[in-house]
Amino acid sequence: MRAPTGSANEPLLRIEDLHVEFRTGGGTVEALNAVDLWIDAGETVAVVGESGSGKSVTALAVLGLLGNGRVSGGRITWDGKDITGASNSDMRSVRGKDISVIFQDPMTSLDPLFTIGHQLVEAYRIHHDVSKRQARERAVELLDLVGIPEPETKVKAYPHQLSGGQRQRVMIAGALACDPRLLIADEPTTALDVTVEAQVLALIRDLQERTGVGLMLITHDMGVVAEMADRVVVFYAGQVVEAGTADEILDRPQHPYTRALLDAIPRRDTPRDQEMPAIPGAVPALNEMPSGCRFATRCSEAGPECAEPQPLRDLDGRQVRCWRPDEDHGVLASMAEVAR
Amino acid sequence: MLLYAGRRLTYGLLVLALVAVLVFLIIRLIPGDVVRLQLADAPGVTQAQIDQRTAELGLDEPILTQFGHFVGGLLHGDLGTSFEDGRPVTTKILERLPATLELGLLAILFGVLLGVPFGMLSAIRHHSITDNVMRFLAVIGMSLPNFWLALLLITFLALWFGWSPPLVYVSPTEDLGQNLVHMLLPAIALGAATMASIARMLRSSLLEVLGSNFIRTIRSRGASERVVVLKHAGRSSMIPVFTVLGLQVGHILGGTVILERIFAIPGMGSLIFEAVGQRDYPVILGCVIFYGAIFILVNVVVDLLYAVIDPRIRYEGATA
Repeated sequence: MRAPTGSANEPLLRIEDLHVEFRTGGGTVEALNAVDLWIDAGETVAVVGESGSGKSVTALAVLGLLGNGRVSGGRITWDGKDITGASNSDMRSVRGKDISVIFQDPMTSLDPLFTIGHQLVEAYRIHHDVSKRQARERAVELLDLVGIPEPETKVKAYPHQLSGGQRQRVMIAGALACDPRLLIADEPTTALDVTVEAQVLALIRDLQERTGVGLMLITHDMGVVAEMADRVVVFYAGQVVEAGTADEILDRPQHPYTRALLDAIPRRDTPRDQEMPAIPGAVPALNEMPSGCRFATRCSEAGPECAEPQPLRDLDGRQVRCWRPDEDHGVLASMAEVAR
Repeated sequence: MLLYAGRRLTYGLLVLALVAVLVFLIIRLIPGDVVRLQLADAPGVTQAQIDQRTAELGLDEPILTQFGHFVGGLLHGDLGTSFEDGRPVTTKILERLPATLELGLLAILFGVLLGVPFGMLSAIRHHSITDNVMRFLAVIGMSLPNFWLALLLITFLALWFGWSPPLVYVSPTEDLGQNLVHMLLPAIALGAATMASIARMLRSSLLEVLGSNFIRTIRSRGASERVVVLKHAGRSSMIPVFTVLGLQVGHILGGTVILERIFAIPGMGSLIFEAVGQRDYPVILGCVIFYGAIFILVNVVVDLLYAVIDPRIRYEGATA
């Protein structure tokens, strides 16, 4: 069920066969290899995978903020327009206005030398030709929107005077300053306490309902996925290995990696003396990727066919990068879960 | 903030007191005797005359008593009188101060006006040819002794353009143009190291800040590179630059002693030089304390500037 190209229901953001490489001291390494995903207006797409699987790189590539990396292949389309490799000045009109980001670490993501009011005013005035006073009203309004108490006084606060949760709320306020159509939340709660995490997620969901903003939620927390996502895209070693609706992926994972990922979630009813399930081995280094399936070395079901390159195959309404998606296994797994 | 400023000032005064004690003791370790130097050429000097002169200068008293007089005077802002001509040290310093102040400020101006853009350019174009050339020049600028650079400048300007700087000092109120022509070379020689240090420090601190998360945030909101580099990254990378500048003031003050001599500038540097030659203790002491005070004051100001730049330092006292 890939969104059709060039039709009226063109998705907000479409990434096709995206390749990204980074220059390092020892040559170039490919951080993304064939990433496909799309996000419709107002929809929440969770991007999951281990650290280093390319989730954040995908987000930065969309915004053209790769630093010393570059898009080496594929296409990024925003609202029907090709923005792959667009110039920095062209991308500036997209950043913040059309697509906004909330980064992982709120402790270091705000400029410590300016008041949060100043930073919100700045964010708003980049795309709006208004006076500082008008922008200041907007800043107060934004702080109120993200649930900061006493916004009129808090605009004068410096980042170090706020808690981590409050800073992340300010980050969200800044990201929403110009009413973007897509919000990329890159592990927005990783650096926060569990209780604060729930509040911040609730806030994001609430704001999404009110503003209709599309959400690309980068996370490695399957609990968050279950709670927030419409669709899920699973990353492994710079590739999309599986994509589909949240219900399908969570209930009937097809790719062995997705299954292993779901199995690795600790449960409350797991006996304490039982070892935590973990995926054996490690992700191959980026410069030592096999030409075949990248998960084969760690896969319990690997066969000789896995040495062949695996395309992302359409399989009744979802995509799987595996030559033998095991429907039965999925059913068995979910039956096993029900039995538990 | 007031607490912070008060604490910095107290530390500064403490250091100044230490400087005064140390210098008082150290200059007495210089071999040679002011009375013998003054009377050396006079034929038929008797021991009685030497003793009389020694008593006049108060050098016959025990060192602790001399120190007592010195501290007593210092607390009243009195630096004593010169052994050489009996005029108050304060007057002598104030006469010489303007030329040194001008030289020092010109050197700093040269260092900042060139060092800041060079450092920024280096950071923005890091690992480019521009960057490599500038880093190479910066290392040279930091390694060349200022007096040698001055001599090189004089020599090569004379060789290539047949031009040598005027060696007669003209006060800026008299003829500013003539004055600046005279001051140009010593200011460049003195400011070269400052320029190099600022460029290097700004390059590395700017590079570090440009890679930080908050810069990524600001870029992600569509800010222009001008805003990113000049406003946000620039402000954050200023603190280490001010630190370097504060320390460079020390080098510049020290440099005046030789450079004023080379270029015949009647400033405090040449005053110290002459005073050391004459073992004119009160003048040496007065000048060194004065230089120490300037250096300490500049660094207190630098400490206060940190607080102006960074709210976390500003509120440090309030939370602690």
